[in-house]
Amino acid sequence: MKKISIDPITRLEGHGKIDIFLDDQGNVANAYFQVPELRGFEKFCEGRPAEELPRIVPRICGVCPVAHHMASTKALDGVWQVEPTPTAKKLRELMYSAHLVHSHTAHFYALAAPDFVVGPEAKPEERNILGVVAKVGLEAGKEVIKNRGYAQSIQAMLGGKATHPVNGLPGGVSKGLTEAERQEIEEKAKSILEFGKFSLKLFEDIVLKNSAYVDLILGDVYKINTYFMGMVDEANRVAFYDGKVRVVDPEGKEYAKFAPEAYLDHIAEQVEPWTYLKFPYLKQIGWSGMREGAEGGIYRVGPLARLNAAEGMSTPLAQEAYEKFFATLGGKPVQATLAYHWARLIELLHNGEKLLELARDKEITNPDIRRIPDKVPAEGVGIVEAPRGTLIHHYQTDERGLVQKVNLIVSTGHNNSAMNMSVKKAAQKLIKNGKVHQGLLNMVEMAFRAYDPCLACATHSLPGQMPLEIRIFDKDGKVCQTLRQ
Amino acid sequence: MIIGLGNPILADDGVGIFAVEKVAGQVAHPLVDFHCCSLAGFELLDMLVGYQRAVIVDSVKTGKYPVGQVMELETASLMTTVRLASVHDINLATALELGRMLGLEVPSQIVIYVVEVADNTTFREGCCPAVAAAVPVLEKEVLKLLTEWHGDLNA
Repeated sequence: MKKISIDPITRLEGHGKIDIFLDDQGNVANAYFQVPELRGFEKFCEGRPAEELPRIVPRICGVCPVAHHMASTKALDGVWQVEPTPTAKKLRELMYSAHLVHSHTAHFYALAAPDFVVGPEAKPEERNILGVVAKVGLEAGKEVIKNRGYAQSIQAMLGGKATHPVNGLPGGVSKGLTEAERQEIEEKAKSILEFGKFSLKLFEDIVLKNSAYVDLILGDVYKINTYFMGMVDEANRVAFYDGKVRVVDPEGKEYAKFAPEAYLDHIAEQVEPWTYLKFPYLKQIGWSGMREGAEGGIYRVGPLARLNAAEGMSTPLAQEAYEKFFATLGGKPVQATLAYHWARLIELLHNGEKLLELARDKEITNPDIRRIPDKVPAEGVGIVEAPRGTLIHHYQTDERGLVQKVNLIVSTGHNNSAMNMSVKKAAQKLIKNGKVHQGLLNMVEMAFRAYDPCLACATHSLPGQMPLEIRIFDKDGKVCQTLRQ
Repeated sequence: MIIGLGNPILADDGVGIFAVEKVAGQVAHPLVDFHCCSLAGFELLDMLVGYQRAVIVDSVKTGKYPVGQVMELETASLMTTVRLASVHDINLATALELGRMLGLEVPSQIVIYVVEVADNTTFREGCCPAVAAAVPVLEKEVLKLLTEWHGDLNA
């Protein structure tokens, strides 16, 4: 057997890539962020029975499989024009809250915390989760692993499988909850709620009490002006599983509010020659390039966008945290990209509260978990708020329920323009007179890491992480420097 | 713990899963468990905790080796990336290090087999012929290793 080793700087296929173009003075003229795109998913689905889609779509992404499963299941409710029973909706929401806890925990502790807890300019060898645990202590590290595991086990209990759930059906779910399971979830939810409080406190102690970090969050390097999109309930509070999609303008005023079925009236997608990933924008404003401000039509999704697009949270502790968030950061909307991290932790707390609320719901163990569809299948749109933002699944079938057309708009897609604009802004502020150094890599990365983009994560080829490459081009368009991690 | 990694509907990416499924069908031993999944980082740690030894079968795309070639990955080469901050999730080496740091029981020996692949970005069922031909090779290697570890695999 041939033994090989992989040099960490080997250029593997599927890199995320940032290209930065300098002008005559060595300042940044332009910057592009490219996400490697997987191809052919829509085509893969065509001709298959629609009821299989909730089990196929989690394979799009290894990071948010439950979000795809849920959006898909809701799209099937639409295809078969069937309303799930109240208990089925609550069971879906319970599983979904566990997913958000699971995802937000991993993102904050593995990806965001190294920049803040260890420091944005710390040495790369310390700036990782190991460095975070070394700073916050082993006990805190154990809490991260334990509660993340609890969230995972709740997903597995309800979804049938830990990461690729199989329980979603048009009109409901395939598996109910026993009293013993409910009690187990309630106990775990109590722990998760405490963990949510702990995480928010950690952020406040380490980030908000350090004026250098607050300046970094509020500074121009990491600020762009855009619209925001997120799902809301009937009282305009943040909603993850169901509701209407609300858009606020760069001043924070409601610009649009629409039911999932109407998404095509509001969102259009621009294709650019240099990347496979499309650029969604607000259709009624139109595409005029990646422009900031009200005329630009660019919007953002994800934790910060959800808090901006809503008027509050539906749970008491998260509401308190929501108010503090805007009071501290200068009112609504908050345009500071690094505030995504704080918003994410407020959502972690909210989903801890939500888990406990649902685990104690009288209806949750009701065996009435499915309404059998009796209509001819046709067309459906399912929208959920994935951990990274609004996720849209739209299916059309023939009368036998065989898929004719699939359209998906994923969170990383919605944020594509904003990520590019954020990277360009950061590069322009950080690179002067052609001076580029290795520390730049992390400072520029922080601009898009806040969005938690899915970099073609359905591919799991070793070494199991997505390397990033930054190329600097001189005024003649020649690569003058390449940085990799 | 024998883990097949990959995405079974993403062309060659599924090769690790296809190979481990084949092996699983031939082994019934109380000390050997199998798991196939499309996961990385933290999730891998969950699966490895509590096991003394592990085998991981995955794909790799270096562009330096012939498509379909089966190779054993030097564990040390993964360790060289342990200190780097990852763009998404944590890598295997970081996950293992974290497990050790927190006092979890992680395997002391991990053997990683990889197959050089051609296409891992197109949604399609099945591998290309060269990669498909690696499945029986992997099957044989993993069975051989398990026999070394446990003797009779159907005991």
